[in-house]
Amino acid sequence: MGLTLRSVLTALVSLVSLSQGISLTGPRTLLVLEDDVKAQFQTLISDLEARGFTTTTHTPKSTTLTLFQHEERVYDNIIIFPTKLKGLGPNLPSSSFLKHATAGGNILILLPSSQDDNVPTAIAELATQVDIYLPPKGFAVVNHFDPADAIEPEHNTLLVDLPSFPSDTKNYFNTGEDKDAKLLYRGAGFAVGSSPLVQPILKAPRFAYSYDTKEASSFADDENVFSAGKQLALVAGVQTRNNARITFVAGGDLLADKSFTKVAKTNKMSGNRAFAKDVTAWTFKETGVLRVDGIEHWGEEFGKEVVNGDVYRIKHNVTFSIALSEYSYDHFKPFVAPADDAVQLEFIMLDPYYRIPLPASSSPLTQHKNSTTYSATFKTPDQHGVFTFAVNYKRPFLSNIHEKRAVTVRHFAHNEWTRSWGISGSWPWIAGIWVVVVGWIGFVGLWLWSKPVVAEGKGKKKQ
Amino acid sequence: MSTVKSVLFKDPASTESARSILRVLILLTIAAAAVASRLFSVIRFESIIHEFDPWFNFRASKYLVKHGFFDFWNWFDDRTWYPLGRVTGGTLYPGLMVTSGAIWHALRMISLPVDIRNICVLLAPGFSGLTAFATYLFTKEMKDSGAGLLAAAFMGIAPGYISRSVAGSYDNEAIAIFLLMFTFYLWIKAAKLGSAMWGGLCALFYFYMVSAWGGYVFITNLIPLHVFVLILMGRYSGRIYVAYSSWYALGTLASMQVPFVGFLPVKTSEHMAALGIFGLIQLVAFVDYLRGQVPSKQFNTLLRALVILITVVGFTGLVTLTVTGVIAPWSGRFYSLWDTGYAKIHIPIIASVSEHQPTAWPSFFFDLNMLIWLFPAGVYLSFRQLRDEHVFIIVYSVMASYFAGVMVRLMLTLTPIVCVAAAITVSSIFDTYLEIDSPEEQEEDSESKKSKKEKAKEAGGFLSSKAPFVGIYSITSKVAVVGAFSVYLVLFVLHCTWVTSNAYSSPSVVLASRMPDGSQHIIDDFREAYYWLRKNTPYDAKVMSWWDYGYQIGGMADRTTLVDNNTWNNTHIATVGKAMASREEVSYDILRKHEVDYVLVIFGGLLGYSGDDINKFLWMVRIAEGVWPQEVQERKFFTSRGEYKVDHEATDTMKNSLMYKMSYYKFPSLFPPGQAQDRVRGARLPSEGPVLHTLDEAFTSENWIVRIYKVKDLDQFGRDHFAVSAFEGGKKKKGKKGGMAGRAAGKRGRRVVRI
Repeated sequence: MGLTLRSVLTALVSLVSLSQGISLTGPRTLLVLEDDVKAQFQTLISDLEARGFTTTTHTPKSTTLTLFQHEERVYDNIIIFPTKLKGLGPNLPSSSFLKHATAGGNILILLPSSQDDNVPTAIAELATQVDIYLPPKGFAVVNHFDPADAIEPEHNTLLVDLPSFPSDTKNYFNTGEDKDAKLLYRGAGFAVGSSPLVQPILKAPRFAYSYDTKEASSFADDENVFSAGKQLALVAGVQTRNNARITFVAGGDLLADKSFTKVAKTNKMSGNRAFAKDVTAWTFKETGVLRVDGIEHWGEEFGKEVVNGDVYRIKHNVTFSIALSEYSYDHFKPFVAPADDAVQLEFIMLDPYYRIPLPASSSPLTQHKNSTTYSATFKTPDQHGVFTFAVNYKRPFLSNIHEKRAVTVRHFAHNEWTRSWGISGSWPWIAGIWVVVVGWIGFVGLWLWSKPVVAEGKGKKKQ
Repeated sequence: MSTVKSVLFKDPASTESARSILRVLILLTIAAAAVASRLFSVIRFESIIHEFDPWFNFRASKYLVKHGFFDFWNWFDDRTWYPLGRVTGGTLYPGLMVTSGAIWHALRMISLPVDIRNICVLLAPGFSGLTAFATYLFTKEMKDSGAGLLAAAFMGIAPGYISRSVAGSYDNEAIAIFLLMFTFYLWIKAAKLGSAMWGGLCALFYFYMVSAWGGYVFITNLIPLHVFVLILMGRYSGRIYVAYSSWYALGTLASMQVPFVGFLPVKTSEHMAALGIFGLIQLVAFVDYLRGQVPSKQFNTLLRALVILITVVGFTGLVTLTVTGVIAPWSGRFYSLWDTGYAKIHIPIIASVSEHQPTAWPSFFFDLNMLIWLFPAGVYLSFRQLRDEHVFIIVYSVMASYFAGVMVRLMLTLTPIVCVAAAITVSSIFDTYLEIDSPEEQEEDSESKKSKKEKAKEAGGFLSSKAPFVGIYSITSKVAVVGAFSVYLVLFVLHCTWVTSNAYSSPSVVLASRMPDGSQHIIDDFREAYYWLRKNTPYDAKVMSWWDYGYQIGGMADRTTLVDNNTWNNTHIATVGKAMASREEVSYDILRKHEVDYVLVIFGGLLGYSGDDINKFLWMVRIAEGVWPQEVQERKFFTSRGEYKVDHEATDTMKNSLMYKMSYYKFPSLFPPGQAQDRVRGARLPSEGPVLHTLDEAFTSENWIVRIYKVKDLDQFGRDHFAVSAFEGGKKKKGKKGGMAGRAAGKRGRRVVRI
């Protein structure tokens, strides 16, 4: 008895400790790097471990490395560090990364900063699959107008502002203390396609461009420029439909120890270390993860006793509410939509009949801890059918909310119409009916009880 | 001779009780025979619901039994016509389900709990016994009980009726033919007696008929036509007036209580004849009353002129109202009754149903055998007597013959009158030839002859009805004719049994074939596939198939369907047709929009099952083309020589259509390379089968008749499915998206500006 109790307790405790894990995906992190590279990223790795990640290190060519065991993910997160190799090992083909992400795992990919280093084929293939296009070997980003180090002739190290986004997008990448800190960047950049799943996190400054250093050592003509300005992305995040995240950092030095220094120009600490934390936190799902805590819908006809019923009636008021919370490192907190953005509800049968904003409700039906309840009331359309309440909230850097609840909107039953006497226009007709009924009965009565006056006349008629 | 007669046949009056017992026995035997011959399907196969529509009726009956009458009345079915749903309670004829529901409750009340399925399966045979009885009553009114018994026997086993009433054929017609005959019997009775009670009863059964079958319109038009013809013949009488007025007033009000019918009786052209005759008969009655007051020889002529004038005025008014749109114009199905080519051009969805095709002449002999040549003789005999009720037979014969020629399924309405007319013929022949006495010995005969003559004269009938009575003198001719007809009758029974057992007892859900050793081999692919759906897919999975299989999927697999045999929404059906007839890129968007999870196709190429989807494919194309003429074009499915091909000559549009791909997916892999053979179309297929990108094969039944595909979800990484297959197939991304294979986007990067 005591033994079982203890084992249950142990299980509970281990569960609790698991749930305190910082990443929503899980703490098991695979570091793919060669030994000499590890030294360059000591701070990044120790910062991760300090946040609760458990790391396992493998070299790219490792033969014992396997991402799946019994068709289950072995690791929750993978970091591919820059490597000089042309290809990763046989256990890391591009398809294994896709499989890992399909199974819900996250991947952070650091591309080499030096233009002389290779991008492994598997990584380039993976990038192409998610609509990210890497330049060939030998490309580098330069910014002649604002070099980090004026003495460096190539102007290859850039000073980049921390990311900023329009006001309808939440910014998870500028959470450090110094909002105006500059990032030190060195790398080749890449181009991003038009897929809605890819979002550039860090873009190159307006005057920066990526060019082929082998063709032109210090300048570039149009032929040798890969991309430029805001179209040139330095860091980009991909969020798959099942909310796995893949982040490409075009220039691993951005997160390397050597960038966590003072910037000579401003004489302040660079923002790289804080940015590294933000990027890894987003990629490994410590930030920007939304959770639906509850969906409730009810109609006026049944009141709040029947919640989440299957059937509604046409032309009746329906209230829909959804409770959303957001994960932030180690806890869920109420999700507050950005000021210029709104959570929307669609009421769909083939096409949306309604698309209405869901304002935050002050008095929700069920109080959820640590979540905001968004709610709206509307009248069902005069059309029966199978309708779907759909909340399709897909925003950059937030995990996808695509909740659908199909309900039947039925027609009026035979006894739910207004009765005939309830319609004033019908009164003349009803009166007409009763006049006929009463008149007929009266006539029959008269006919039956009035004695024929002349009996002879009747007899004549018979003949 | 007379001693023999006196021994064999006593005075008719003294044997009346024995005769009535005999009649009851014979009727019971006929009913038993009628039921028994319909049980072939249960014996050969099992107690199972047949074909397509019965599956819906069965499902509706289960719903009725489970949820009660009022829920059934207001039933909104959200598992068909996804996502539109169907107001099923208001768009069906509830008579059939309510009947079986009532039987179910009645049996439970007497502690006989019977499964609703068995009631549904055996309802049609049970009612066929009642139909035989109704036919007996009807024919008895026309001639005598002898003819009635013959008619009952014919009706009991005529294949034309059996085709729609074998055990398991749980369709509206199962009870409707009984109701049709019984309503007609009551009408004849009412018209004969001029009784408001019989007219009221007629209206009651008319209401039952309206609640059971859309074919009630046949009664709605036939009875007024009968009355109209009688008025034109100058046979108007108070009896007709009472019978018709009570039937029409009560029957129309009652029929309007069926939600599906509603206000149709006062709004649509199909019902205008009955309304018009109702008005006419009031005028005629008024004029008749006037005549009673003012006797005049010219009055008759005046009356006829008036009748014709009013008819013309009424008809013109009707046309005007129809043109101006006050009265709904005739529905498509009715147009196709007048012009057999109409549906083919204008409403492909009606033309695509095989039972709406014009009848081929052999099927008259197949379904009615010798009755079809006895039928005109019976009509002729009706002309000879030509009382009011015989006019009904004539009118019925003419109308039903026409309609049976236009539409295969209306053979069903012809069958009863053919049985009645044939029974009158055979009975007259037996009356004449089975008379043991020779005519000269009989005094009564001449008397009866005379009286007949007088009767005919009184009736003011035709010349033929005044023909002299001719008796049969020789025993040889009597024996020869009676013997010949007995042989015919035996042959008829053999034919009926053979047709029933071979042609009409297949459930079509289960197919039967013969093994080389003669034993029966059951092909059960449909149920195998539907059961797979039922057991392996989520309860709310949506299955898309051509509408033919909608009811079966709903009934057997219990899954949500997009379209079914109800065909109330042409656009929705055309959408499915478009999805089947388009390229995968186009189809996938349609499938996603309708949240389709599985697609089901019927493919007969392996087994030689000719009723498969590729053979129906052109109808899908036509129906889709009717709605989207720009996107789906029938012409593109034919080769340049105008042939419909599935082999290597097939057009690109054909080969790229979803239907073609789903049908032949992996099919060539069954055969040695280059040997793939489609047994239905006799075509040799290309050795490279079609490739599917947006669907996964989920299930293929044993004989490949049913193939089910699962619609793939959107790609996790936002790629289209063609790119996914290309990547998984090991090919590198090429073309506009790729650049240097897998390595990079080329020196110039992506030139698509991202905002």
